[in-house]
Amino acid sequence: MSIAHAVETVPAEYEDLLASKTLMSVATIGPDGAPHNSPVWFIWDSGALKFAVQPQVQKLKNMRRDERISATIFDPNNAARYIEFRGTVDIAPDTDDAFGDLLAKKYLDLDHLPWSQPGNGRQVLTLNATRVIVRG
Amino acid sequence: MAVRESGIVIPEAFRDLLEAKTVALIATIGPNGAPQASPVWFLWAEEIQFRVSSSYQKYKNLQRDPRMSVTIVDPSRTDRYIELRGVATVGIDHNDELGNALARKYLGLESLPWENRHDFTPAISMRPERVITMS
Repeated sequence: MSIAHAVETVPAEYEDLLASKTLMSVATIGPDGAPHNSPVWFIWDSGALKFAVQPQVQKLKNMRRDERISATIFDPNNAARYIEFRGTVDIAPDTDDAFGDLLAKKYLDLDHLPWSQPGNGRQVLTLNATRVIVRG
Repeated sequence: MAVRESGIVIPEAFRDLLEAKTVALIATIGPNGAPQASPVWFLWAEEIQFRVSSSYQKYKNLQRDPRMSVTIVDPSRTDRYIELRGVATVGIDHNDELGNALARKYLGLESLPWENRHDFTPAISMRPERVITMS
């Protein structure tokens, strides 16, 4: 096992994780300063890491209060191998469900998320990574 | 899909995740107050137990602020998970007892097959104070 270490950009041998249909675990800071952590679908879009949340979720409230997050993607076949991104998020509405459609294509091989309602208020988070850590 | 909070109670329907040979994502608070997270092997014994390296940031974080979140996702159904939040107790894995138990669970071996490069290995345990499930 290699030790976790910081890198400038994602090394080529970890790019498979960014293209994979695995989940990404997103840690945020709750109202009392304690960490929260839950999995999301994600898209790696030409160097930008993006995910989406529904408007009512605690994670979104957390990120509006404190934009700093950690996002971890691990290899389901070898959990000692992972990438962790740390940074801040930009929050923007998912206009015309465009991002929802990208998630549907990647994870479900469908054109649209089957449960998506027009005007559902989905928010798209784009990570500005300040630190990238890889292991394994 | 629904997210539920069940206080300190582990819903019976989610106990399988606590026995699963998958990893737990451990989120802690870093020195600047921002979150950090990484996967670990774990055991469940009415509390979450795992080991960290004494040189790792996670260990230093938990000594400074023991609050953490532990998330275990169903490896076969990614929309099903359990999140446990609480306060960590930081101890030492004396005689590799926890390491050996992890080796039995994950590898079917009596002990972990790699050498410990550190003087001691911290053992972390946490009894959940808040349980959140989604399915």
